[in-house]
Amino acid sequence: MSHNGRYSVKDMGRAGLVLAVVLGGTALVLRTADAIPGWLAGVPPGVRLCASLAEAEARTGLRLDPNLFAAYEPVADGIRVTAKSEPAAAVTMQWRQDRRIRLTLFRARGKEIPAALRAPLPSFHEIAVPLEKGHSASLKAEALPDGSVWQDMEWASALGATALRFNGRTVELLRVARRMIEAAP
Amino acid sequence: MRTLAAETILHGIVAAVATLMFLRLRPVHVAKIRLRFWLLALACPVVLTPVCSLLAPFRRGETFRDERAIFSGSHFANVQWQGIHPGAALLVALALMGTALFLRDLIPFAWDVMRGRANRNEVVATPKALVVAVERAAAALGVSAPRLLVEVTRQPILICRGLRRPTIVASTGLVEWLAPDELEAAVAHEMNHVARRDPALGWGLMLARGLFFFNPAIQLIARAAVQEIERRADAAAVHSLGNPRPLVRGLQKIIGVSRTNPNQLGASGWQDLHLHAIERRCRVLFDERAESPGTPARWGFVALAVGLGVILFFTVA
Repeated sequence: MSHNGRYSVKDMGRAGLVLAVVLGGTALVLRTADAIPGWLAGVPPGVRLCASLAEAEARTGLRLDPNLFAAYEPVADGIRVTAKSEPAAAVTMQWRQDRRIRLTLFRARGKEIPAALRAPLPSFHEIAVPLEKGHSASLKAEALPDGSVWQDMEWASALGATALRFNGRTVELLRVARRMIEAAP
Repeated sequence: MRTLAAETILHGIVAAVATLMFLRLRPVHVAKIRLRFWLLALACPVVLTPVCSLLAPFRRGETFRDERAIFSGSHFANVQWQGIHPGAALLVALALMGTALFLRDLIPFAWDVMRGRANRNEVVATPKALVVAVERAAAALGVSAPRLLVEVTRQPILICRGLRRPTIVASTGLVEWLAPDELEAAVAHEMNHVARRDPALGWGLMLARGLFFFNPAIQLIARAAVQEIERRADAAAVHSLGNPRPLVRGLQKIIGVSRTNPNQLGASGWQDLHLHAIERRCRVLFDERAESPGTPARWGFVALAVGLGVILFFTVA
């Protein structure tokens, strides 16, 4: 403050800086706190965990067809969805018989599955596979960081993009994919 | 209702911390301006939160929570530790803390009110020094002299109360303990409460505390506001007398009497806290730095109010 009681531009600038620090700091702390559940569950920003398939369907408006995967069941923290503006869902499932994770279903309203839900893996083999109703899928063989080999089948339809990441025999993967296409409206 | 209660706690904490940070980083030495900042912090959970809930119900929707909100408590719904939801446990702990803070002040407050009622009949002839001090202070402030009640006790009491009709309550012990200039300063302090209708503000703060008894932030903000009300009256009394020493001496005597005669005032933890608050006021009176309530304070207040409003709008429980 100057001697005549008026405030200088420097004073105003300092007050503005303090305000920016306070409000910016408050917003940053809140944003960080909001991200904690995601960090604890190991999900990237913008992705939410759902307690059930019904909740995931309600949040995204996507059909996840639980009846088509009767031999599998979702694992804990295995149902993830993205924000509603670009709805997509991923369901990691274990085979009921051996309780090993064998299948992840991805569905998105758009043309592509968001990278936040499906981490890209190095693929070493890719072929095109004809499916029912004139659909064609791309089938890739991919290696996970632990060295296991998985198959990734992806196709697009009027409903959006669908992908299956599968650890097992290719014939079983094809059977699941065909059942899904047949069940589609 | 539970979500609204949780949101008032969340908003109260955010508003209190932001206000405290602002006042620490850009100290404001004028009590009446600091009081405005604390009342702003109090208005956030008491007024803004219910208004936002009422006028913007879309804030509760999933789209708003997932895509627009800075913070959403619902994101903690799936977090569990040993079968316990940490978010829910934290809320319960905060609610218990708020209730404890409320009761810790309510019990002595209720006791004071009841004691005041019980002593109503013990009115004696008002000491002349007290009448003169009240009339002089009233004339200086341009208000009519309020009702004066005198209690017969050696305990030095001087309080202002009364929602519709402010009354100054003094004790015979006060006149006994304080020198004439100290009494004049103490009365000038209370007369400032009368002139500003501070008892009504005090009751308003108590009402907010009672309605949001579970909210620790509201309890602490209201306490800070009460301290600023006292400092504002101190500053006004010192301004009218031109010297802080009589008021400080008077306050110090009250502390001295309380410390040497703990049975007179009750040696409870609450009383110790009260005395510490008076000691802090004495330090502030000697440390009072001149600062006019100029543009940055007003500008900072408005900007903080707008900024907090925006942040809290995008913060949902």
